[in-house]
Amino acid sequence: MEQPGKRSWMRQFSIRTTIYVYFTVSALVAILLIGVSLYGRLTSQMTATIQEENQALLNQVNLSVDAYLRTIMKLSDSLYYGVIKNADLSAETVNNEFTLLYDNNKEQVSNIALLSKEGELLEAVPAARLKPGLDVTEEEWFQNTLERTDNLHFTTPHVQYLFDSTGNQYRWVITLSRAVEITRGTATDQGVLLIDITYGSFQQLLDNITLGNSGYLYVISSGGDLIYHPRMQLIDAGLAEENVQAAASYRDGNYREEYRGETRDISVKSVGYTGWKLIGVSPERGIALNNLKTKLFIVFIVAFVLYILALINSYISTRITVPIQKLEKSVNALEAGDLNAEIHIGGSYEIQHLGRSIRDMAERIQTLMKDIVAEHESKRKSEFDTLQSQINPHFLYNTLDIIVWMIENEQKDEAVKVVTALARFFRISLSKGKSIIPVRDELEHVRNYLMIQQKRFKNKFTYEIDAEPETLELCSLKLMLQPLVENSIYHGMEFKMDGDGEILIQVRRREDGLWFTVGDNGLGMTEEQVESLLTGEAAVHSSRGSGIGVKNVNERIRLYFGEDYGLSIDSEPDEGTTVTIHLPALTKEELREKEGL
Amino acid sequence: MKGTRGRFGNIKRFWKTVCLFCLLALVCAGCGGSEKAEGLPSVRIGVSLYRGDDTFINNIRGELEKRAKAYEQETGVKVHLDIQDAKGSQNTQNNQVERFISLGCDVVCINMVDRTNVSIIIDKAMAAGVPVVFFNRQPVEEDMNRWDQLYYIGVDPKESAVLQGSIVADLYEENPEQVDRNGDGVVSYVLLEGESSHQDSVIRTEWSVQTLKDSGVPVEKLTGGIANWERSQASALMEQWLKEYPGRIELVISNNDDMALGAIDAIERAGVSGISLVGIDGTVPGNEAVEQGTLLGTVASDKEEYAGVMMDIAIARARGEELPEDLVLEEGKYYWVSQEIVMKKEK
Amino acid sequence: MITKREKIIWAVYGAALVLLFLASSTDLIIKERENPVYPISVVIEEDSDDQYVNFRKGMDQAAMELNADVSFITLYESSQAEQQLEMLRREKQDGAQALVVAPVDEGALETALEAEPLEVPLILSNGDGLAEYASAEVSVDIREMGRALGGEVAGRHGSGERILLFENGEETSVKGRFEEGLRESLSQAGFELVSVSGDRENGFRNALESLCYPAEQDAVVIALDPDSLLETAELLEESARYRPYVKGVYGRGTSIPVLNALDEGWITGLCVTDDFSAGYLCARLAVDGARGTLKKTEISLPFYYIEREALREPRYEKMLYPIE
Repeated sequence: MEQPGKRSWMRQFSIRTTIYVYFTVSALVAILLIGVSLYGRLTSQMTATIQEENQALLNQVNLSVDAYLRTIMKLSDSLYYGVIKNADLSAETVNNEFTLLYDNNKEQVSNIALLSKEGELLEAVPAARLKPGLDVTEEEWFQNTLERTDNLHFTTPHVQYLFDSTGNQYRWVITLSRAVEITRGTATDQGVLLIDITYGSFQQLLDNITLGNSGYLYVISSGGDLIYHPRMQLIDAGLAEENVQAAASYRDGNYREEYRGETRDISVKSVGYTGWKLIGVSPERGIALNNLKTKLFIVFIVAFVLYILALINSYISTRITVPIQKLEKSVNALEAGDLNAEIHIGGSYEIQHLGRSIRDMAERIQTLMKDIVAEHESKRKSEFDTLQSQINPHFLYNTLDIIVWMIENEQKDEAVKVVTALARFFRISLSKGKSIIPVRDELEHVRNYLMIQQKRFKNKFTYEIDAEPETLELCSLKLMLQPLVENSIYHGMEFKMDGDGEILIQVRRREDGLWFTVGDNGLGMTEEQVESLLTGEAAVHSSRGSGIGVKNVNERIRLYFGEDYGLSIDSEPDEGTTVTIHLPALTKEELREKEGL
Repeated sequence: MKGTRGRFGNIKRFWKTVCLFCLLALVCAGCGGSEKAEGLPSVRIGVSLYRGDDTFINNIRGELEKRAKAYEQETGVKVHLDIQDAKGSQNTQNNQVERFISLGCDVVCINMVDRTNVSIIIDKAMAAGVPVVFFNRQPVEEDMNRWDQLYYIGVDPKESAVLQGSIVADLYEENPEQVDRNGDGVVSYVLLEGESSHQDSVIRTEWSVQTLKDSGVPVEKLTGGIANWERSQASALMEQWLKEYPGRIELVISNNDDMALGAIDAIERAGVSGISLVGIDGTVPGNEAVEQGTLLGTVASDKEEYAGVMMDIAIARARGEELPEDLVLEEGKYYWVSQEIVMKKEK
Repeated sequence: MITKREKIIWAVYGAALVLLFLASSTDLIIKERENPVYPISVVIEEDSDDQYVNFRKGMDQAAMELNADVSFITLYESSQAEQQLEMLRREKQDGAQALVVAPVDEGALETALEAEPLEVPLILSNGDGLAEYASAEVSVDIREMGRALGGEVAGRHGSGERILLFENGEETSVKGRFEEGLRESLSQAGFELVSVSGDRENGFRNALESLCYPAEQDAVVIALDPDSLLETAELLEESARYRPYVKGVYGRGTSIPVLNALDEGWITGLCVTDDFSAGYLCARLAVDGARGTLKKTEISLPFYYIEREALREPRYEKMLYPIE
């Protein structure tokens, strides 16, 4: 019964949809789980890898910057220890050596100059003059260099202004200076050896280095001045910003900082000797598979896999569910009443089994129904026969004849007896249509019959009815004894001439039921006769009898009371015949219970 | 029995739908493609100079710009001239060439910083199919022979030197005292040389002096130095020499005008006179100095011709046309610009 | 049983899959936006880029960052307003998606563009206040600059000094405004102003000659444009004769020869501007214009008056000698 309301539509889902939905949903969940976890994993893996690479790159750059500075410092050393120290500047010139060293380092070096303590230009390669009006001794770096004689001094980048230059050129340089000892004759004096490093060559080391997606690196001095930045000019002009102040305070290591709304990973590495710091910046957001196309691709993969799964799923479910559906259709047809509907056998073996079972059951139902119909049919026939026999015309005519003869012969009393007996006989025959009557009534019925027949056959025989009193109220089948007696009379008694025919009817109650016997000492029957009696066609009416055969009685007994009960014949030719009837010992109440009324 | 139809019932219809969708997609994609701006024909030329403050190079640059504008006005074809300064760094120049190619230049004109290091640029140009016109600093023959779309425009250094030498030689012939000021029968000179790696320096130096010798001028070299084509370096050197050889220097032979002018600067500062100077190039300031009499003479290359030939080759190649018929290239690659002596015009 | 509805769903799903595939793995639907290159053209008011070296450097920096292709166009002849207009139109026709212009004559430009608009964003460099026809402007207040220079000169020299205003004979809006401001503060201070045009041959030389001969007089030279300033410096450097009579040389300009002249002492005081930033900002605004994201902007950059010492100060050093 379908319940109305919202839930009912869920129940309406066929197996196919259910399998389909569950399968698809679980596949989808699985895919999503896999996808998401893989994606997360990949991203974090990539992040880690990129960070490692950035670190490695930073180290690499650090090494190259270090190497670069060392080269210049070595150049300074060579110039000093290799040339200046060994030269007496009053007697010789160091120009050739300077030129040689300059030529070897042309890419990185813009000028090499040797100045005296007083600021006089002693040697310059390539050839150069100091700017007129420029007093070197007043320059801060000059003074610093002479003060701290043990160190090499690096300046921050600046425009070259020491030497006279012409034209449209200006050069950004980093000046490396050191105090030197100049020998002139016998006197030694202090001086300054100066190397101008072209900023461009330094820049080249650091240009075009990207960390990760949009990271970069820059260099600051120990004092927090920018030495190099990819956007240096813009920062100086105020058009861009960098978190230089914070960077200046960092020691070597890795940090995270928030700057202008962005989270960035910062790596700091110090460059040796100069106190400069190399700062690598990688913004967080740079690392992600955030390409639109990649996202679409992932969506595509998921959708595609789903599609394939759905196809497979559909196919599978069809193979399973279609046979069920066909079976269902067959069952529908069956329900509709078409017992001959073709049952579909197919699909998986369970479905086939179901199909076969349903088919067998349908066949059995058909058979059973046929049986029931047959049974009803035979019952009806018996009833009909009984009904017919209830009003047996031949017996009636004969008896009426006797009565007329008696009346004509003025045997009034005899006639009254016979009429009365006849009336009683027919009354019980009808018994208001009931098939089951008490034993007492059945005995009464047969007694009346016997009495009439006795009169007819002019006392050819005698009869006795012997019933236990306790049997009288038990149930008996109507018109059961009379046909047997009829048989006895017509087959046994008729040919007894001397009037010593005997018919004995006995009713006994035993443990296993109710037993009737109808015995006579008549002609008896052969076995074949017994056979034919039992199986003979009930339609063969004895013209003098009631019309119901022995077979009919047997059938009726078995119909009413079951196969366990019935009638049996015992006969000896020339000796007599005894017919035994076995019924269950039931009271009226018991019978009613049994029939479940 | 139900009929068993295909998986989708009508397979044909399914595929038809799919095909329709595909077609739609392709059409959309096609339409979404970029529309090329229908513009006038234009030529894009990238020029990289080895050093922006080299006067000669600067003069050439000016002429290139003039020639480009003239061409534009003549033919209505837009010439996009992109001139960059490599500031003496080969690296920078390589980057500039890369940028030119990526921006779609049809032709590049390169004034090599390091003439021995050309392969990177040639590789890039060949890969992109962009012809290269080298000028003023000549790549080695092996490199030039790598491709038939490489050209070189320059001034024959030997010719320059011989002409330079002949300036002094002719003057000496005419009027020895003009040259040999101190009358000691020897012309004492100092030599200002260009970059040591530049092919022109060596040749010019050699042939200039040789010409003098060949012409029978008695020369004596006092000293020489490398001033790397730069005026300021020459100025510094000259200053030194003036101190070193006071009164002895009679002639300054300079590989180019800039250095000669630098020497003139030093001479003026020192307040000395009586020194003859000769240069090569015929730059604008050089010519002016000749006019003013401070420079004895110079060998001027025809800048207009220089720039003109460069532009002609560049534009022809950029438009995929043949070179002008009257343009004759040595070995199909080299062009030597004509030069002439410039001396003060006697009125 | 597969219903018609199911078939349709399958078909649509299949088609969607195909589309997705095309979109995600091929270039048919979504083109990986190759960083678009924005073609931009700059038309200045002169025939050479001598005065624009730093400006160009700024533009190149922006071009690199923002993926722009900058065409720097100089006129065939300096200060020709019609030519400039012609160039602008030509560049637009050639496919420039934004234009930057340093106008020769703003009035003329305005009239011409009102009659026939350009249809691409136009950025003004050194214009005179935001005009209708321009999409953005990056300017220095030249008039104020003139005033300030005049003030400096007035501060350094007594009002009795003659002031020679050297100029090269070309009329541009910028020069006009500079002169206006200059005259304003100088006249206020009571100076006598004499205009000298370098147009005629030896115009400046003759003017300087006149200081020595016949009668000796002192003067202060103020150059109204960088060319004149440079020429004056060269004249002084060449010939020592004029030096005693020229009490001071002032002007404006940012090119290296001018700065060198300042360094060597031939120029006394100089008004300078941050050309690098100007170039950078112009290029950036132009790219915004090309992208379509430009809002009407007016950026005013400061100017500075400097003398020789300032060249060594890091602040000015960085501004006047940009690192590339």
